[in-house]
Order: sequence, then structure tokens, then C-alpha cells
Amino acid sequence: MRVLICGTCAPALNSNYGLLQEITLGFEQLALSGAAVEACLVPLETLLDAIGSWRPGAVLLVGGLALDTIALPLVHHACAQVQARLVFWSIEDPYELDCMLRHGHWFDLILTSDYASRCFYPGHWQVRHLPLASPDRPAPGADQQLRHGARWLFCGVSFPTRLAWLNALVPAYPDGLLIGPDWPDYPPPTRVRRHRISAAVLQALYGALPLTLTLGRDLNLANAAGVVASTPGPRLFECAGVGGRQLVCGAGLELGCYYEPQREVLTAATLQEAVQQLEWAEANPGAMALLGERAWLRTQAEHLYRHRASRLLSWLRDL
Amino acid sequence: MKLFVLNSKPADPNGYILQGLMRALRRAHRGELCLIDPADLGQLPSDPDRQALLVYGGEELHRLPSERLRRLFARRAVWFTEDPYERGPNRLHAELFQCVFTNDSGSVHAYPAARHLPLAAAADLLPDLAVTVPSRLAFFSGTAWPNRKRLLAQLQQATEDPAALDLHLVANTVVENTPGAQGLAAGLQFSSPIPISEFSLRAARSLCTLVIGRDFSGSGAHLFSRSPGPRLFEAGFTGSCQLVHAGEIAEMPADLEEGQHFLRFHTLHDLLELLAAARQRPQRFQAIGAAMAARIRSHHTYDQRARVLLEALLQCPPEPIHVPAADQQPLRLLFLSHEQARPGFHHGGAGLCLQAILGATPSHVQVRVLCRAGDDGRRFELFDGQGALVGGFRCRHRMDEFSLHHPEFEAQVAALLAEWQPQLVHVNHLIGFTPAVLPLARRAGARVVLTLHDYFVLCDSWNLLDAQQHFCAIDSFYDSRCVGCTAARRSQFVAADPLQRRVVMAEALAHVHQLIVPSAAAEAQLRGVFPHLPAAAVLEPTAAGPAHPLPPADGEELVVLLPGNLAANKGFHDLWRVLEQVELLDLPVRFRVLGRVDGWIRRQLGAHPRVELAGPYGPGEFADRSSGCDLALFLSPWPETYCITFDEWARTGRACFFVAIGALAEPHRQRGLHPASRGFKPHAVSALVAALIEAATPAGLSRLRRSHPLAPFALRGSGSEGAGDFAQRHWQLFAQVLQRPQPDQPLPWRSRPHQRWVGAAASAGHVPPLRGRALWRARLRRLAYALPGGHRLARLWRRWRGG
Repeated sequence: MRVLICGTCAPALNSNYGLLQEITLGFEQLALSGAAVEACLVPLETLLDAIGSWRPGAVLLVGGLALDTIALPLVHHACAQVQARLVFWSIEDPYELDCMLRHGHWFDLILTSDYASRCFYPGHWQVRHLPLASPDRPAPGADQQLRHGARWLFCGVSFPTRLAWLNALVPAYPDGLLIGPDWPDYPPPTRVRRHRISAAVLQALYGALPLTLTLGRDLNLANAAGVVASTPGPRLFECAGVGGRQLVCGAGLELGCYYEPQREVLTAATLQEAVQQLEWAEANPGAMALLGERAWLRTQAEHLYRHRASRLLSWLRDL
Repeated sequence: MKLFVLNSKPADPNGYILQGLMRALRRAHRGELCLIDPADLGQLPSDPDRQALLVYGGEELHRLPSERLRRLFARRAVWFTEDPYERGPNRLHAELFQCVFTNDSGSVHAYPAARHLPLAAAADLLPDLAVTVPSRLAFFSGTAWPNRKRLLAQLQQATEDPAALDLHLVANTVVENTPGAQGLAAGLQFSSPIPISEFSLRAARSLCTLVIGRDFSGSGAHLFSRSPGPRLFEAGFTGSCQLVHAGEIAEMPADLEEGQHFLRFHTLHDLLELLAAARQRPQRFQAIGAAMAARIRSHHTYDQRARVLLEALLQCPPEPIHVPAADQQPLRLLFLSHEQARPGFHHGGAGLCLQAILGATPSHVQVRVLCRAGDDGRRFELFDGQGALVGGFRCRHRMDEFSLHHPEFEAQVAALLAEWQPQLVHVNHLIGFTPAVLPLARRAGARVVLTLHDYFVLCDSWNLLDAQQHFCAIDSFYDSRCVGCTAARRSQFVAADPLQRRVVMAEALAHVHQLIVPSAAAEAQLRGVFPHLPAAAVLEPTAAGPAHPLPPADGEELVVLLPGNLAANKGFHDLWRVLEQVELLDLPVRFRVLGRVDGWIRRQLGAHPRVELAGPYGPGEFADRSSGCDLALFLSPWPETYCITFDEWARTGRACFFVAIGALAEPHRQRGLHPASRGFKPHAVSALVAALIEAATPAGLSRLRRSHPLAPFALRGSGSEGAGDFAQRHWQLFAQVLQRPQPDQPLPWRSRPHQRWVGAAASAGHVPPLRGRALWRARLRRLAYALPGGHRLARLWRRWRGG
């Protein structure tokens, strides 16, 4: 099957464009392993032409629909002309869920990265839960950690819940590296870098620093029903995918569907637990290395984009 | 049977329950299934005997048009899910339904013939996570009602191992603002809401789950549900043993037995004993939980509820419905016009077309025309078919040609549609309105017809000319030039993003039942960018008046006519370059400009020795006032969708030089034109001047002045019936559109409150807050406009003030 992949806005505006490339790579890896699939990533500007000329069996749109950047009636029409299935992988649920509910009728199949959001989609639509995943990265080597540097890392936007966690954590455990726009100043030794970094640099840091904090997003843009997210975001999988050692704060039990708590990732429901875990991690570097290796192995077994691609293809066959 | 499910309470935090039911209905129902929004009822076909309605929830039922529901569905069922708390309003609405179900066994008696149908569980609310041994003793999750807070605080204090309890309490604003009910005891804390999947997982890892009722009402009128809510089934589904508060949950479903499927407690002491027993003999509790889970899987899922609902709907006798025959109903048409549809208004081409259609309105049709009133972007007037003012409104915020969304205006249009209830809405031009008028009209139950007189829906440069007055020849939706072009054309404005604008237009146009275009060329141009549009009807405007061969000039000079409007986008810049060369070469050519001319062009041309400004012409004057010309020029550099003046000139039997683009280049217009006529590429000034030189020679003049039989297309519709024929074809098309069956599924649409809508064309600036007298004046003005007929009062006031 030919799968044409595209974002919902122009690549120049799409901060998730790297994700689209990794998803495409996932399909290509699946093809290398013998699956009858071809994948092609195109920019939005050429999507309509590509549907007509390449004649895919499925068109996979990835992203969100909050911005009026994609003309779904036209994409739907173009797919109908070549009898292609139109699939959407919503990676902004539940924060932009209302936009999906507004436009979802155009799609043959909707994939949502959030399990809880799936329960709110109209029940007569074809909706499946498909979490995000990790690119395929080599196994972590020995002795790759920086000897002098921060003891923990967090990279991301300063959403209110994240701010609350870090405001509480930093005084107790200040030796960390905080990357992302709009973070307040914290006194040394906390290092605050208000920059955006590339995915490649971030993945290098995951491996090089002793511990990465994983804090969920909580910023609704269009979520009138107030649906609460349940599935962890892509960072969880990406960090595990390079053998990073994570402390996941405030995650629900669904985390256990992907990684085994305390064996593949550390978890903390409260600030007190988080501090205890940080102390334990500091005191047990050998156990932490093992934890990172196990996370990488689990990712290799279940959470690469080629696994997601495989599942998507099976759903497409069932349509 | 087509089953339509309507959720009476949108944006429901428990909306997952309805969707669980929908998934079950999809599995159980063999016919079509559709989830509808109340606003989509107008789009449904009237087929009551084959359509059934299931209303879920019951809240806010007063918003539904009960008469319309009766006309659309002969079988109607409601499942009230908020009893007993909504029992009062629910009783008022229950009589609309033949089948009534309530979630609360204690509310069954409140309705004449209701059945108890408890909420249930859905297998797909529980993520696939294997839990072998429960790690917690007991779980509770829910709103922190006072009775729950009391019991859980006592439990927390009395238990030996508080860490074994997983207590999740969500604060309620009303409770926390009620004196004496606020706060939590030490050891408990409020938490954020959790997803239902997390609820299920936490229940699954706990040996027991507590089922405690709600003993609180903000109004003081305490109501207690006799039967359990959905959480009993959702938690029970996981295999966690359900410990039910006997005093607050009086009645359990008949097929669930105490001791076999669940356990009860009356007091804290009972509960502590149960938990102690659970700690000592967990196997017994696990067995009870497993029995409950099995029972729920077989009898209390939404699959089972869906079967009950469907069976009831199928078995209920359909209500006989009297639907007035279509031919007995008065036919009401609403036109939307960017120009005023009243006698004496100086219309452009689109307005002339509408006037012709209105002039041919059949006697049995009632007509309203909503027009922009002037150019202030705030006032809209409503005329009847004779041009008499019958209503209107004024918006506080201005709307301009860039506005993609305008909630105030759209609310007014929705109100007008609801009040006038037209069967057909014809949008003569979208400029001055928002694209939302198309879906709004469709949602109101009207057939929607849109005429595309130009390319406004593709680009806010409605003629597709760029900043240099060059045609862009766009042929794809995503054209990389559009952003730069828009910025160059509108550099002084913060205009809407052209691609976003096109996305909004594409979605709005998908709601149109019938498109009308004035030429096949126009349709081809539109379809290149909007291939999803349905096939359009080509209705060519035809000029009024008889064919009238005209005498040419009789001197030695070539007399060239420039008929119609003359503006920058009608080729003025090319004309000026032609004039410069004609003057430079001292050619024997004179020009007569007949028609409306932009002021700055009039000043520029007025001083030119070779140009005569003949001024505008009225209906029926064209032939007389263009008499004595050898040749006409049509220089629009963009593909005009039609050009009535071109047809009028062709009827004179004389030659023309024209830019061969758009409707003018259509082959059928070329056949039979005067043989000296020639088409040119846009901006081909040199070729045009060369042709004029040749035409001005004696041989050229002779060719031009030779008489020639009239072009066949020019004779089409000629005579006094010309415009009438054009209008009749519209009325025939309207009748066809009205006779087509309504599509089975409504096309969803929702307003886009996130879109920028007011002042999109203005540069952003800080507006200082009003104070003092200005504030009171603004309040008074708001009050005046809110009154019935307020805009008229305001108009009188402005006149009196001389504004």
C-alpha cells in the first residue's frame, strides 16, 4: 500500500516536521522488513497534486487542526478521486479536541495520540488510539554521560503544571538544566536556557545527562468538555528510545501500558516522591544505567514508529 | 430505519458515555446511524416514517424545536441521564417522546410511561494493562460532596494503613463556597479531575471500590438518586469489589445480588469491618468482584442498553404526522446582495443580474433581499420584492471585505433565517458578508444557491490581478505566490492570510447546493482552485433590448469606443499607453469613452485631446450613444466571468478588439463576430497599437465599416425578452434545486470563535477604555440597539443630529 504523509500546515510553520520525517522513516523501515508498503512525505503545498499523481492507497495527515491551514474538503475530494483512504493522526489531543470534532467527519479513520480523548470522539466514527513513538536509535553505549554537568534535564514549554512542579523541585534539587522559552530565572546552580534546541541535540542530552524529567502538558486551546489527557506525549518515548533515564512526574497509571514503572522509568506522583527518586537516582548510578538500557530495549520492541506504522496498516486493511 | 441520535447537552464532561453508547449502537443497528447537533435539524430530510430519534441526556431540551422534531421523526425516544436532578424540566418535555427511559429508578413514577435504564459500562474505557494482584485496598474517586468528605475523613482517621487507600476527591465550587461545608480534613487533599480511563485503571488495581452517593444540593432541595450511577458499572467492570453505601444508594439493579456481586455498608463501622475482612481474606472480595465484572459484561454494557433502546423504538407505533404538501406551502426566497436591491440604485453587473431575477419573481413566491446599506460595513437592510424596506439591523462592529467571521452579524442572519424560514437562499455575491452565511442558511433548512460573478471566493483581489494589475493565472489551491501578492497589494492593512481565507471559503462553499456561474470559462478558473465544488450551472447574462445594427463613423478618422466601466482593473493602464503612442505617432484615431469612469481616470482623460468622455448611459441607451463608432476596445486584463457590454456591442454588428481571456475568449462568442475583430493577449500594447495603425488606414477603415451579419450568440436572447429569459432560467433552476431530495446526512459546521474577525483590515492598535460621559453614551447606544427596532431609532437620532 502506498501511504502519502503530510502535515497540516506548511513545513516552515510546523514545529513537528521532524516528527513527520520520523513517521515516514517508520513506514520505510517496515517496508525494508518485507511489508508491502511505500511511504512518501510531501509538504502541504504539493499534497493535492501528489494525491493525483502518486495515487496512494491512504493519505495520512499528522498534526492538529486548530489553524485553518488545510482545506479538508479539497483533500477529501482528491482522495475520493483516486479512492484513497483519508486518515488523520491527531497529536494535539485533548488540547485541541474541539477542532477535531468539528472536522472529523472528513476522515475514514482517525488516530488519536491520547487514549482519554478517544472516548470523546463520536462513537460512529472510526477512531483508534495510537500513541506517538520514538525514532529508531542505536543502543546507548557505556560511559557516554557528561562527568561535570547538571544532574537533571528538562526541556519544554513552561505550561502551568510544569511550572508548579519545577517551582517545587528546584529548591530541593537545584542542580539541573532547564531549556525552553518563558521559564523564570532560578538561582544557580540551576541553569536556565531560554532557547529552542533541535531534536538531535535534545536526544544527545537525554543520553549525556543522568536524568531527564518528564512533565506532561496542560494547556487547552479548544477543549470545551475539559477532557484530561491520559497518554504520555512523545518525549517519553523519544527519551527512552536513546536509553535515557527518566523520572516521570504526575503521570497516570496508563504509563504502565508502555513502560514498567521503577524498572524502565522512575515515577513520582507527588513532590515528596520526586525528591526521593532524585536522591535514589543519585545514589544508584548502576541501577539507573540498567533502567535506561531496559527502556531502550522496550522501545525497540514496542515503541518505534515502525510499530505504529504496522498497526496503522492493519487498521487500514480492516476498514 | 435511520436512527438519529441527538445529545441535548453539548460539551458534556461525561460525553464519553454517549460515545460509548454510539459505538454500541453502531454495532447493534443495521440501518444508518447519525449523531446530530440540534443546529443540524434543519438539514434533515422530511421522511418521518423511516427516521427515528433518540435524545440522550435531557438537559437543555427546551432549546429543541419540538414541532420540527414531530415533523421529522415518527418514532422518538429519550434517555434521561440526569434524574433526579433534572426531573422537573424533564417532565415538561417527556410528552414529546413515545419511549421514555430514565437513569434513576426513583424517577420512573414521574413520567406517564417510563422505564428504568441505568447507565452502564463500556469495555473500551479500560486501557489494556494487566493487573494481576491489587496493590491497593480501596479506591474512591468523585466529587467532594459533604457526605463523602465526612465519611472518607473518618475512614482515613480510623484505618490502620491510610496508604492502602486511594482516595481521589475533586473540589466542587458550590460546596467550597458553602459555609460549614468547605475544606478537607487532615490527611485528605483535593486533586485535579482524572480521565475515565485512569479511573478504571485505579479501580482495577484496588481490591475494593467505594460507591458513595451525593447528599448535597446547592439549592437546598435535596434529591437522591435511588439507583447507582455509571461509576458502579465502570469500576465493577474492572473486577474491583464494589462496596455500596446502603443509605445513599437505596436500590441496586435487580440482577445484582448483595453478597454475590457486591457488598453493602450502612455505617463507618460496617465499612471498616468490610475493609478489615478484605485485608484478611482478599480472595473472597476478588471473587465477588469477578462475579460482578462477569455480570456487567453480560448485562450492563452499552451494547445491552443499545439493544433495549433500539427494540423500544422499533416496537413503538409511529405517530401519524401531518406534513403540509410542498405545493401548499408559500415559497419564500431570501436573496443576499452586496448592492442595494431597490429601484434607482446604480448597480454593477451583479446587481443588474439580481434586478432581472427579482423582476421575474413568480406571483406565488415571497421574496426578501438582505443588502448592505451603504459602505460603512455596519448597516444591513431588508427589502421585499418591490424594493420596499421591511427591516434590517445594524452591527456594532464593522464588517469589511476581509472579514472571515463576524459573530454579531452571523447571529443576526441566523435570527432572520429562523424568523423568515426561507426554503431557498440565493447569495448573489459574498462580498460584504461572511462565508458563514452559506452554512447558516443550509443549517436553517434552506437550499443554498451561490452565484460567482467574479473570483472573490478565491482571493480578496476578486479579479486575480496582482499589485501590477497583472493576472496571476492561479490554478492550484496552494499557490506560493499568494502570500507575497496579498502583502504587496494590501501593504497598508493587516489582511487575512490568503491561504487561511481560501480554506474558510472552501469549507463554506461545500455547503452550497447549487453554484451558478456566468460562463464556462469562469467555472474552469474556479474549479482549478476549488475542484471539490459540485458541477455549476452556467447561466449567461443576456443583455436587454433588441439587436441593433449601427452605422459606423463616416470621416477619415478611426473612431474607437471604450464602452462600460473604465477603471484600473478594466485595462486603463494599457489604454493610457495606447493613447500615448497614438498621440506620439499622430494617428488619425479618436476615442469615445461611454460609461462610468473612476474619478482620477476622468481627470486624467479629460485633458487628453483625442478622448471624448461621453458619460454613463442608462438602460436602453447603449445603441444610440455608441452610434458612429468603428470599433470597440475591451481591455480588461483579467478573465472576466462575463461582460454584458461585449454582448451589447456584438449586437451592433461592428468589430471589436478585445483581450482574449475569460468569458470573452470563449469560442462560441467568437463565431460570427465582425471579421475585423481581433483578440489580443493581456498587456499586448504594441500589438494593439499596430492593429490600430492598420485599422486607421483607408483599407482598414473600409474593412471595419463593411456591414456584416450579426453574431449568432449576440442574437441569443435578444429582443425585449433577453433579460427576462436570463431571469426565467434562474427561476427554473431554483425550482429544480427545491425539488431535489435533501442529502441524508447533515453536513456539520460550527462557528469559528477563534478566528480573528473584527477590524481584520485595520492595523492593530490599543483602544483606551471608555470613561465618564463617553462610557454612558456607549451604554445608551448599546441599549438603544438592543431595543426592538433600535436601529431605526438610532437612524432617526443620527438624522436629527445631522450625522
